[in-house]
Amino acid sequence: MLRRREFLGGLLALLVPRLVRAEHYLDLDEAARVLFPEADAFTPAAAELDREAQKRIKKESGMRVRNRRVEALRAQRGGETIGWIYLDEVIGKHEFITYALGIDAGGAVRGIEILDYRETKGGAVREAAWRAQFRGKTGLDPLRLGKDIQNISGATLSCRNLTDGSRRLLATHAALGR
Amino acid sequence: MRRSAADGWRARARPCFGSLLSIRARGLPRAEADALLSDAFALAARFHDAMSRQSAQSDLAAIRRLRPGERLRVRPETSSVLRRALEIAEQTGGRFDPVMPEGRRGATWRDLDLAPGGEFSVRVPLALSLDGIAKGFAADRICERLRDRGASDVVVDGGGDLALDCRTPQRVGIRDPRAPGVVARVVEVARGGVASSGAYGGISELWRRAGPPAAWPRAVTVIAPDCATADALTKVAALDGGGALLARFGASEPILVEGAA
Repeated sequence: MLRRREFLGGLLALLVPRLVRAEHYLDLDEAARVLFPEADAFTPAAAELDREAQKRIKKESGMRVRNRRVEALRAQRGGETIGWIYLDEVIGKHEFITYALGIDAGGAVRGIEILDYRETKGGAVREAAWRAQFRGKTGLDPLRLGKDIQNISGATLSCRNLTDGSRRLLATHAALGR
Repeated sequence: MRRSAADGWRARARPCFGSLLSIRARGLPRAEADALLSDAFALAARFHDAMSRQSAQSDLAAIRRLRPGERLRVRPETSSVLRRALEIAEQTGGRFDPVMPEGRRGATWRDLDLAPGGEFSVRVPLALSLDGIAKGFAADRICERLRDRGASDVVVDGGGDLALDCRTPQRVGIRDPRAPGVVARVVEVARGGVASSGAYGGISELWRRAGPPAAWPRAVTVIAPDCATADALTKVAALDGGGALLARFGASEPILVEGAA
């Protein structure tokens, strides 16, 4: 009979999506330099959102604030602020994406750079049942995505989460009065 | 997983074409790599802006509003893609057709006219879809540009359609639409395009054009000399398997993921 800890561990393994593919593109400071190549300095500009700011962001973007703490950098040139870089993360059906959004001093989007893309397997239980059909069939055993296959054909990702996240960040930027 | 700088690849990704566009290049001059990659993304953005179905300012929106007898000068990006789309439509006897069925009212690719100077006209009102072929065409141009600028190897991934220009074959996994995170097949490609169409994210354009599949494959992958052609030919391969027709374009036998929808 399974001990309680083993049972719970097994149950957790079934429920928690497993990471199958991870790409690291840029660090935040690299993304900042790409978004604002003309900047000569980047300074920390993190902030905490109070209740009023959270309400305002929800109203303007239609999206709830998930994290009160906002991670950001200020881009400067010759001591003048030329823009801001916000760090954010969005979660899709099978993927987690960490990205940086650049907003210029006029409040317009400068660009988006992906920092990290992580793809999960999601339905582990479903996959076990699906894989069972391949047992005993030579040459048909499906391979898993992994670090030895960098290139994948066949799309799964829609950018809607990134678009929604960007909209929330723009509202956040406005709520911070920047 | 942190990408090792020691392997020499520089990779960046941005949202584009409604998906994620990633560009990986090796051998770019170190001091210019970021600027060159940013330039490549700007090129992709021009293609996207010109041919976005969602944007009211795109050439496709203007074409939707066009009436017979009117002429429209389209952007150079649109002109290039349209020209390639019409070539493939002619060479496949219309099995690939950039005219959307829901806007068709009997219209086909034969009802379009693109003059050498980029002036566009229609014989009947119609709507176009250039999503996949535009994405592939942009990916091909990015490969060319980065190679011209000194890259030894380039892989452009436009939402799962790949353009490659590398010195040695690269492993490409073909995702199984039935099980996320699982690869159905691995192929090796040094230069060319690898495009897949099918049930990767719900109803595909393939099914929208000709109805839900009964005996159709769930997904089709084509490897061709370039990504734009590979994407266009996935539609042809899904319709009738491809065979000799695909070979005429220098494309491989299509790779099918079978099974009921």
